[in-house]
Amino acid sequence: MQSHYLPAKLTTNYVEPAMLYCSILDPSALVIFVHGFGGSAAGTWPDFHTLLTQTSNHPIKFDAIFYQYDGKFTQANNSAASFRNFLDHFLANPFAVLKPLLPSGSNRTHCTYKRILLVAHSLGAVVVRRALLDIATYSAASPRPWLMDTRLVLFAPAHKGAFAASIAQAILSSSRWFLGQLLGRAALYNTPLLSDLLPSSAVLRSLEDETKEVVESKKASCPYAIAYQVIWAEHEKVVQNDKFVADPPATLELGRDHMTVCKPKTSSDPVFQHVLHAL
Amino acid sequence: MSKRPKVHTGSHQPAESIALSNLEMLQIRFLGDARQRVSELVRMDPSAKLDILRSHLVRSIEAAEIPYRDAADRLIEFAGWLELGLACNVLRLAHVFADELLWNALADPVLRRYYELFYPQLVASALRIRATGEAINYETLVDAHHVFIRALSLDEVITRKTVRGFLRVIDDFVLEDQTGHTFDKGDFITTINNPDLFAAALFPTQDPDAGQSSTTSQEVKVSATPLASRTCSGFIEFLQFLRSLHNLVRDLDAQPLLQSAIWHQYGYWLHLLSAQLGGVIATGLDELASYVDTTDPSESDEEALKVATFADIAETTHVLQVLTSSQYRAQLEAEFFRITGDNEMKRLFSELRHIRPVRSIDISAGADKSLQQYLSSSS
Repeated sequence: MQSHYLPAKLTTNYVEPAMLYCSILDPSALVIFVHGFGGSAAGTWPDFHTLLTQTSNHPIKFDAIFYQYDGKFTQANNSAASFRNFLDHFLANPFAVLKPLLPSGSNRTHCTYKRILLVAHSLGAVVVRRALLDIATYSAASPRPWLMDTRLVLFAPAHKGAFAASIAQAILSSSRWFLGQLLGRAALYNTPLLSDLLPSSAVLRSLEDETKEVVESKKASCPYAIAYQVIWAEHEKVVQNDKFVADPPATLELGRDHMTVCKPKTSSDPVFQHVLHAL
Repeated sequence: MSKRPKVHTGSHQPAESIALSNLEMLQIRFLGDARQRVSELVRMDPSAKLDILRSHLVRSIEAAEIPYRDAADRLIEFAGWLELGLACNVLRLAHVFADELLWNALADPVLRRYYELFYPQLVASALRIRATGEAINYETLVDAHHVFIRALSLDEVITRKTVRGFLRVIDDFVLEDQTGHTFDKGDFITTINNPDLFAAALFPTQDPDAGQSSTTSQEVKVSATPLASRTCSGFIEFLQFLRSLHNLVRDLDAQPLLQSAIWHQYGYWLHLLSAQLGGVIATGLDELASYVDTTDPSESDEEALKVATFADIAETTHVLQVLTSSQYRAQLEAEFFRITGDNEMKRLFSELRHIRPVRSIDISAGADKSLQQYLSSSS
């Protein structure tokens, strides 16, 4: 049975249009998917689109946004700034943004999200972490209460760095593709994003240092700085699998690689279940 | 006003409110503000309409005509999604029938010539015949909502700016940026057939001549422009789209008519690919395979990647061949012509069917000539 309306394009000033799946019933949660290197919302999360819209039996009703940005050439921190603006704009008054996109016969009356679930793959983890950290740091004058309702589920996160040739490869495709290796050999990649993501880059070092400061300074929990769940791929060749600050121990997905770690095939697939459980 | 259609109610109807919402969402997404232009087109003087909706092979399209042609394209795409929505049981036919403008436009002879002869979109035609009381029986499984969502999510890829840019290039547009740089199909063909140029376009360096010993600086400059970069990125994403489309249609072997209808919804681009660029892309992939073959892996991991690379090139080539062949095209055409006995369209489709899959380099000229002959004889 259909749990969500057909997707609408959510257009904002900040980024490329995102795909929005609005729950038919009033939701209590919002899930935002953020893709990785060179990926696209449709390419990174192909089966989530269909599986999420068949969750009418799930007790928690949720809206889902498949966020889209340039993961090829734009610096990671610039993408994070755009995502921060997007989040701030959207979550300031979600219903005002969604109402024009809901069908006229919709009975929905509000968007009171008790849970904001951010699901990120690869570079998306860096983008999300930096955006949340900046919102928490620079919005002290007018705190964002939703920050405390966030949860992060990170698939094959790149927050500890990635291997350059493999990034180029991943940029070119959401599957194992040949041109990345070819480009890596020819040393033709010259995008700031690649150096942003080398292990111990300034971008990643500052992200980790600032996260550590936030975690250490907060006596209470800070869910926006500590992942709820981290999932690593057994056959990971693109990113460095390593613990990030106070994140919980990662779940290892056997038989999967960097690209397949976030692609469930059925609703009983553990990859899909990780997301549902985090709601 | 077209003849009012009979309403057939299927056994797998979605809940009324959901079906209405689904229709509204599709309308907003695919037709949107083009509805006003469609309305103007339908009411337009027939000779003016005939001129605006001509084949671009007859005379180049002028800027003032583009909004009307875009509106017609959006209507036809919308009609295709409605037909697929009905096939997948996410819409109710009675709701679709309530849209008078839609049916008037689909029945308009000049629009029909546009979407059934010049730029054939069979899924829209399959919707049109419902007004006569006929319909394709897709024999869809009850729960095909997920199939519809998968097909829709492919549309998200194909409407991305980069992919649109690539498709415009292969559709004979010349891209131009604010600095006056241009990029057209010829530039793309030059780029795709040279791995160095292709790599430079995908990841442009600060110095366009750096590391390009095997190519002229002029060629590198062409490929290192943002337009080249965007077009080549769009090409890579389009190959991804093809693989996703292939996965989707392959999963529908048990429902061949639905499978074929989904293929036809994207059929225009597949036809364009086979007719205009199939040989070029196949040759480009061969060039890349040769390039990879010259590399000398130093580690076992790299050797494995090289092997995977060859397998991947072979898979991509296979997908191109399959999608540009008549394998998925034939089912819906056969059923449509069986129902309608439409000899005029049958003739056009049999012309198009002669276009061979992508491995044949000479198909472009032959296909265009054949189509032009057909158009001049039918006008």
